[in-house]
Amino acid sequence: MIDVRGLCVRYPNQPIPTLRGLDAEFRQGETTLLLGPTGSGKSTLAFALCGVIPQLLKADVSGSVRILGRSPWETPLWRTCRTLGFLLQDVNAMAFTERVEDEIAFGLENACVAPQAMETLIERALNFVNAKQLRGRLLRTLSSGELQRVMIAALLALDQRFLILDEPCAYLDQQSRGVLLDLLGALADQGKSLVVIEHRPELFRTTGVRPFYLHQGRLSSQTPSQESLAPVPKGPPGRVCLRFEDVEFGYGDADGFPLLSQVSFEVASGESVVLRGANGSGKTTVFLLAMGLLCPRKGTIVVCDIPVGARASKRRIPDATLVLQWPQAQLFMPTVWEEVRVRASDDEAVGEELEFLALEPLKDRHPRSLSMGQMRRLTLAAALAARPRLLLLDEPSVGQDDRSLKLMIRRLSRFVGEGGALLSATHDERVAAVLGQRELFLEKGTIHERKGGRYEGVHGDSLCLPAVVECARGSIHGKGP
Amino acid sequence: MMQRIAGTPARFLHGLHPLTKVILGCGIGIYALFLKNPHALAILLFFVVGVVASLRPRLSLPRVVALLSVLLAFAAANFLVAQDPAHAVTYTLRLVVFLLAIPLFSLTTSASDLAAFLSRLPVPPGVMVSLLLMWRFFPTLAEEVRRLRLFVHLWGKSWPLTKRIYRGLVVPLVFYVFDYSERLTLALELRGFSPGLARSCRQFPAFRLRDGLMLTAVVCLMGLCGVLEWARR
Repeated sequence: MIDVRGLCVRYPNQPIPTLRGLDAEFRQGETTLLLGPTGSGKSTLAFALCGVIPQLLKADVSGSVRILGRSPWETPLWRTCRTLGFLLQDVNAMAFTERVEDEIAFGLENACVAPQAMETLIERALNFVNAKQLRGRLLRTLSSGELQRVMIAALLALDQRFLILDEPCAYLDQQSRGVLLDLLGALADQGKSLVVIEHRPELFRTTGVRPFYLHQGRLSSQTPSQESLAPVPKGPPGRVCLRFEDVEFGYGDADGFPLLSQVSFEVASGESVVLRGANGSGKTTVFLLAMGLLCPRKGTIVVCDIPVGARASKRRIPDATLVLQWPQAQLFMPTVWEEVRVRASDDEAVGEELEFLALEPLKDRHPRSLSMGQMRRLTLAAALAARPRLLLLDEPSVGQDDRSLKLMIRRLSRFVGEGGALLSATHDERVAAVLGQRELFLEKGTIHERKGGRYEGVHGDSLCLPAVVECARGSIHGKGP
Repeated sequence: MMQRIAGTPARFLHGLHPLTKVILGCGIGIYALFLKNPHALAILLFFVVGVVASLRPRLSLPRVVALLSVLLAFAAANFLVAQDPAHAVTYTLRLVVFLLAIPLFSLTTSASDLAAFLSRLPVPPGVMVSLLLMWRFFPTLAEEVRRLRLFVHLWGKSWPLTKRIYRGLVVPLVFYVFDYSERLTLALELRGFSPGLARSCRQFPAFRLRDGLMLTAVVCLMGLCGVLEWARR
């Protein structure tokens, strides 16, 4: 059991503690869902539970945390992590090796598992998260969802008694998410204690979990009801802003197997289109191709009347902007205000965007000091301040609480209503439902359009949750539930 | 750039033992700092460039031109300070050897091989962690640069080159470097790694004949450079 009594955490130079006298018990055989708005201290609590705070991240702590009677603050972190597995929100920060199987083996090697047993454990861990096919791949060639699955497999291979998972479903496609949720249920049945930080409680509706709401540094068992999101209305119909015509693309050799083949679609002014597909199907690649960051092998790409396929010159496409799923990669300026100003036409546009996305109070902060959700809103504000005709948005909902998501959707509604063209990639059904006036599905390198509630040409099993995953019913190390 | 992609053949350098690569990388880099003879340095550089070429890196003409321009600027600055062409050439060659040698060998060493090898070294835990941090620094930095260079293109030519380099590359890299040791330590500790503890090893890298040959070749090369440097004075 993890026992928390009177936990207070205050970061240096911050007058108000992030956590204030928090009491909780995380029992074995139980899944605890930790909810709360961005910046409410969910990740801080997770760090304090495993001892990262105060051992690696300096903060004033008081109260006590006990894991099976031992304080993680006084125990070396590596020792705590033998019984407690922690999946960070930013899974990139957890990776140490280059290859998938090496990454899973790394934890096993640290736990002194015999080399003969490792191959079976690696195989089973990858099977559990539906990632067997990724075994020989380099980590840097994986999509965010694939990397998240690999890092979850690396944790599962260690068979720890406690697991803290920070947004484990953030980048997962529908099928992988179904597998993971089944797996978490099975792990709790085996007597493990799970703490899951999540912004989407609806994902856990069917599993027996204990929800906690963290607000103003304290826990409450009363969770607020979810805010409803209004669908994005259609704008005035206009010209085609993005056109893919028989595009073929593959990483590596020109004669290698293509990731995308014969991809054709259009996005016009005044419409919002959602691009969906399994992890690693090539959604982000489509965005990078559209912005001319990658060069297609065949086909034509036209963005806001500019052909970008050949990409002879690295000129910017002034009327199109891309908001990446890694916001840090798009933050260059010393303050939030300057970050938006550098792309905006005038100061008025900056003020408007900051206010719309609730970033006005943060305008003097350094962009890299913001939380992940705030950074994501900032990159969106900067993109919209440029007044683009086409906006490409990759995984907009990751790290966003209900209120922030509502702000984003409202702003995007206005953008589309004013005649902007929006193409977004998301695994979040709630967001897909409000943004998806049209839905495109990427599977096996080609794009299918959803018509009448079905994706034409898509295999039936790709979009439905798998039945109970039998392998999830046994533990990695062979013990049954 | 130099790490193996799944399915591509491993080059000679990838198969060397991590100890061989640590010795070669640090040895050649540090040795270059002691040499003053341009001929000795040129021989060392020739060897290092030969090893780089064996990896068949993808080099575009603009990248080669940019690299040569930076080196020429460095040589010119040295000449202006010392008013001695030999001095400028020596310092430029020394810089190139030093900057190529360590990253070259660290970029071709996998993290798991390195951790396996270091955990068997009879060195204090602090030294081991320092070696791990230093040796992993170049591959992770190379990956970050590759990512940043891709995304800075989103600005296209709307930003002047200097601004693109400073804002798009230098500033994010400074943040990355400051953050690096913290991130790596967190990644290691969360995975149960501790430098002072015994750990098992899935595939321990073996010391093979080619390691011996490579080390012998480099010792001979260093000897030749030493003769040119010190015996002819």
